[in-house]
Amino acid sequence: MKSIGLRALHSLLLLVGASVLSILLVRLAPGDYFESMRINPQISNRTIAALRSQYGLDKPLPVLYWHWAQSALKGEGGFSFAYNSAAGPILWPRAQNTLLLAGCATLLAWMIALPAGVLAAARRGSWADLLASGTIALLLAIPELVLGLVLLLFAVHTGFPAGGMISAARAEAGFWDKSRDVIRHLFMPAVCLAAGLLPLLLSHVRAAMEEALRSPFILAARGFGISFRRVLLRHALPAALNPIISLFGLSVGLLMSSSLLVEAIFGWPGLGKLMLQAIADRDLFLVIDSTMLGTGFLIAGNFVADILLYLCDPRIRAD
Amino acid sequence: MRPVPLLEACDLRKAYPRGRRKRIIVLDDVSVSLYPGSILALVGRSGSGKSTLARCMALLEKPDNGEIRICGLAVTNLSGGELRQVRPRVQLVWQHSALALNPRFRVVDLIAEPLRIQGIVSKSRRREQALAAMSKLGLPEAVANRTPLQLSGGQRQRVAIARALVQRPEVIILDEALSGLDIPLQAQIAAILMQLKASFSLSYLFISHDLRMAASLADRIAVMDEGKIVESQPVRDLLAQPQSKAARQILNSIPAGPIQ
Repeated sequence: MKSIGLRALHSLLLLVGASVLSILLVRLAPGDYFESMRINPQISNRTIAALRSQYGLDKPLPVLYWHWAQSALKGEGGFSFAYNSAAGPILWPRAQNTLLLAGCATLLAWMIALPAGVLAAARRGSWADLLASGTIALLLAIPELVLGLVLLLFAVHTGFPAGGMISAARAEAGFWDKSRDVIRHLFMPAVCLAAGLLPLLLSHVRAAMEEALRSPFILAARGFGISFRRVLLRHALPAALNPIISLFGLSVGLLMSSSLLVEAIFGWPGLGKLMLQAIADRDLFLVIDSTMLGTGFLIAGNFVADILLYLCDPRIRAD
Repeated sequence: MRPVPLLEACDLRKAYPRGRRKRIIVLDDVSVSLYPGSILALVGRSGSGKSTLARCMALLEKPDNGEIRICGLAVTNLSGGELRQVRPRVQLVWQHSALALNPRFRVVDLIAEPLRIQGIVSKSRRREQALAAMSKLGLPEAVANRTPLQLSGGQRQRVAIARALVQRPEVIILDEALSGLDIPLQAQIAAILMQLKASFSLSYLFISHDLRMAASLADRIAVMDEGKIVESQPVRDLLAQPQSKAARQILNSIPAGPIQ
């Protein structure tokens, strides 16, 4: 429990560090949201200066950070200049959509990678192993953009929804109808995102299982006469779990960043488009909030992985 | 009439690939027989093929040629369920028990795991039998909930022997099982092994490069060199009149002092 508490404190410090770094980097870049107004000759320098002063952009960095931190603790996350409202209410619905997409894609990728990797390692040289190798090579070779476009084409030909999150006709429908529609819309982007992650997971799961199966204690376990399935699932899989669990933590963090492109291709109303626009506009607090959400994803993934490691490995518990 | 050997290797050949074309011969027409209630020691230098022979005889590796027989019954080509049924009869205790014991299992679970195949469904009953086996090996109950890496080398080796023992084997192959332990501990475990042999009518194939220890335990010694059995004699005869160069070399390398 103590180590989990320490880990939580460590995560909190990381979040603070990431927020300091992100505000520092955005402010170090030349210009700000109001800078682009200078190209409009009808807006005077005095007006721009007044606007900067009104929104607090003329304040020193520590003061700016302090305002943002106070606002973030209230759940508002600062102010969006482009949307002229608190950043929190703009971000949260989109973050939920990204979370839904990334969560489903992670689940899908792991549901395929875990059994397929175990099977490929257990039956080396078999059709399952060859299929796994082929899939890894193929998915690694296809850029995510191309894969997304192929899936879009597939969606158009099969009648699957190819963009957005919900059909206009279903926007006012009941909960179940709406959920069914969202799931149909979710399918293609989730497959695309999972396909990007799959080669990494599959190759790591297979390698970890192969390594575990080569351990002398596996040969010794087979010597008892217990079934291969039990040797595989009770002895080899737990032995291979540590790198797999660490990879799980990493995969959760990775999905956040890789979902940006997929969201753009499939018009998924997630954080991706908002974040890209905020960076282009220099919408300071929105950029920091989006970065913090990404960092939060990564930290949460690793935190969950650490807890899973603690639960799964008696040696870590003993330490 | 001689009794039928309990465990027998007949003309075993085993080669491993080295590079693309070459193969290195590890077992070259090896034949050994272990009779009920006896201890056969297999000695030889490192790399002479002893451990490969041990794995083949424990049915953990298939020889390229030749046959393994248990009580006259060929078991080399068994697979699946038939092989799993035969496996408990011959148990192997490895030299590096730290590697051969699953580091994630608690000691009691390591010993209880093989009991599943004996159809003992009740967990408490398996635990009971595991604790009984531990006590036979002089392991205190306090270590039951530890993992192998929390034990000393001697304790680990006893856990490995206890795990082999719960399967009620007829033969235990001890592959350098006492090597790496200090001398008093070797003597202690050797004494336990002799007690167990008497209590459970066990036979041992005792593999070692330590001729002194082999001679003190075994009825007969076989000497292995470059993948071949070059000599096999009762202990007294081998010590008095070694026939092969390999046996003489091993004898000459022993520090001065009487061998009993």
